[in-house]
Amino acid sequence: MKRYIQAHEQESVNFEQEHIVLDAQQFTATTLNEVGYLCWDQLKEARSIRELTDVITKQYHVPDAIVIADVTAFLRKMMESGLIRDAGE
Amino acid sequence: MNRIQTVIGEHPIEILCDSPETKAVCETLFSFRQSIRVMPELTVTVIRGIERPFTSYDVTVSKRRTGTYYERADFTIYVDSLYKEAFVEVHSELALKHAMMTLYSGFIVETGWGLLLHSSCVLEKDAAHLFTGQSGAGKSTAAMLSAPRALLSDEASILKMTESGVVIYDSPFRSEVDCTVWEGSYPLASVNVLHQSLMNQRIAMKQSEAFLTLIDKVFYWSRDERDVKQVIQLLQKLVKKTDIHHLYFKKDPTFWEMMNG
Repeated sequence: MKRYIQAHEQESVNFEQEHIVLDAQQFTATTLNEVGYLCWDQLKEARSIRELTDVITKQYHVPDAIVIADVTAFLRKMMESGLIRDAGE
Repeated sequence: MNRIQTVIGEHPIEILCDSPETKAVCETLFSFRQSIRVMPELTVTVIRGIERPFTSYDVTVSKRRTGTYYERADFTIYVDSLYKEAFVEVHSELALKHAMMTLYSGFIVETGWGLLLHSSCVLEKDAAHLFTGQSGAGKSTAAMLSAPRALLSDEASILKMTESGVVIYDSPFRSEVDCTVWEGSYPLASVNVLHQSLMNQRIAMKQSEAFLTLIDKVFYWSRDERDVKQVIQLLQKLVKKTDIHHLYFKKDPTFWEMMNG
């Protein structure tokens, strides 16, 4: 099962219901909502789509199919941004 | 020695100049507050000697075991690891002004005291209001239109982060040298990100948006991980403890009706 992990150490800044991830290597700032930040926080360790989905459905009681699609899209964007990387199987 | 004893923020600083001419330039460039304290927290030796003129605003920062080097074409700064002693070599008055701002900015971040922010700052009933924004947004215009209110800065504001809130000190770093210096500190009531407009409007910003808007208004050059963390923490405190607004203003003093409302 494919797993993902944060690409390198980054700072996050937390405000009200939004969180900003600051990448000092790339000089980028990425704003995440509550759910995105929950995923991001989980990715301090290697996680699969399934594992992330289970965390979210447990917290938010949202149908599995919707969460899987959202998590997949989220991971793709985070990979494109260079904030996470493939952690292997 | 040609010496200036001053206080910037709440820091007694001693400036040792290599000549009476350099001292005279310092006294012209900066609106220094007089200090009677004997023991400076930072001693700065200023030497005019660099031959290269200004080419770019970019400053390279190198951290070494013994201290930190700040380098630009027209100035170099060396400050020891404790930020007690600094040596500043400059090409010109412009270089001297920017070097001192760079050094002081590094000093207050290193000590976790506060930030130097690109902005003007005006006092209204003993509370400070900052005006910031992109180049040309109107920081100096807003300051000018705020007369006769006291001006704490017109270019670079000195912010101290305290547990109870943010306070502002008079800034010696001015584009227009003002002989009036203001003692003490003043609570920061608001930060206003300026936009020139046909009508006045003031809109509260979300904290996350405010953080992203202000991050490039901080005078800071180091890319060292620890330093960047420090700046982020200080900026986060500013955003969490202060009301931050978009301020759309006509180029007249009527925007103050919204500031006081």
